[in-house]
Amino acid sequence: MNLKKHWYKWVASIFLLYVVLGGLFLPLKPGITAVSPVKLFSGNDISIKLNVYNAPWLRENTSAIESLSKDGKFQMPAKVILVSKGIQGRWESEKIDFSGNHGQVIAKFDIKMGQADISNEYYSVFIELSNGKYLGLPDAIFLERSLGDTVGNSTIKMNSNENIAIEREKFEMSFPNRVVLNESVRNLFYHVPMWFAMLALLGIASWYALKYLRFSNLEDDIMADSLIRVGILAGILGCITGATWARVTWQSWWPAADPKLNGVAIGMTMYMAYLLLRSTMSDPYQRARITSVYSVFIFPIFIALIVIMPKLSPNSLHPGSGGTVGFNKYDLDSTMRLFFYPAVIGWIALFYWIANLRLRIAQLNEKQLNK
Amino acid sequence: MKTSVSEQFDANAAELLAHHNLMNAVYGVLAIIFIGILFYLVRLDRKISRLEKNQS
Repeated sequence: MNLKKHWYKWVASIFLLYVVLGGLFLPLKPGITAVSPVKLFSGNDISIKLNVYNAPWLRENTSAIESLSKDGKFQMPAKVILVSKGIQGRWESEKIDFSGNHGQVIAKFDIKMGQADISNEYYSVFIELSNGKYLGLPDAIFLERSLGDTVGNSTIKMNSNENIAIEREKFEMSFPNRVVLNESVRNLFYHVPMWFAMLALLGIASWYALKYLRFSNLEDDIMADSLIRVGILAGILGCITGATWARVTWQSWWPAADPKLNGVAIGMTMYMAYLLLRSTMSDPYQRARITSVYSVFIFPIFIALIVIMPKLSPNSLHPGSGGTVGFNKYDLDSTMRLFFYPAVIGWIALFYWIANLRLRIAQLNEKQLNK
Repeated sequence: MKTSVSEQFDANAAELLAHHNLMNAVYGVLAIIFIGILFYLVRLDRKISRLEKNQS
């Protein structure tokens, strides 16, 4: 193959191979996935159970515990700490149990607030590891003062929150463990680029449609049509993959309150209408002019519906819209970036490739019709 | 009634395993994309066959 002419095919093949393999096989960072109970009353002998995913102390992760513990690589849970957000309450566990078979920690607490000025509120849970690092779950437990709690105990330290400033971790090739998302965070490389690909293809299609309106060359119209059709394919795949992902994380196939989903539903309908419009006309020049005007017109509306409106809306489950932050600040760490950007480029290149196949078939078809 | 620590570990192993299901969502999403693209390629293939038939 001619490298210069087919560069995007190489980009698609190489980038997607890298993204699919890396996205599937790189491990997830350890993280606390569940805490029980979620509501506590102060008192003695409180037992808290924490589930830890990919726990670093599992036997399968560490074959030779002794040798590893010398150079500080081995991470064992040392203690469990509860930290409040508001007026600083901080409680350390008296005793913890953990097993090498399950990523589970059971911590025993004696929590006596006494006369200290601590309100009932949410506490973040941290597991301090033997190498000084922390695993945390924010606002995981609601702690309430029990009625008989009048004498405080010694583990309380006021204003000691600064001890648990999670240090910036050294770069590791592993994906971040997010609450709710867990392993499915990898779908960022497969679901999200579908929409990037759709937007890219529809954008290029608008360009060709404009070009048709300017120069009235039917080749441009066929190109725009092919790009839109394959763009719609990417959009449909984006919808189905998104529904699958939403089912396991947001507990619904199609959370109807989400402005991004509503916008996409309207936007996809507009492009379905494009297909309908095109199929009703047989004169190629008339068809090309009308559908070009239509597609140039709906592309900015599509952008407004799926990018701008969700951003303005007060609530959306999608990152980057409503009250949630985009994937530039907290959501995307450096390992995710290493795969997300190639994924976007790779998927766009792949769908462009498919659109190119569709174009060549349409061109041949046109030639046969003209014979 | 108090249960021993090891019993508690066993009772909640299932709870922990439930989180592995999220990996299935990733496999599912990849499968959907693969099937979707394959479906489209088969359609293109049919179109080419039709063109070839017309040509001969």
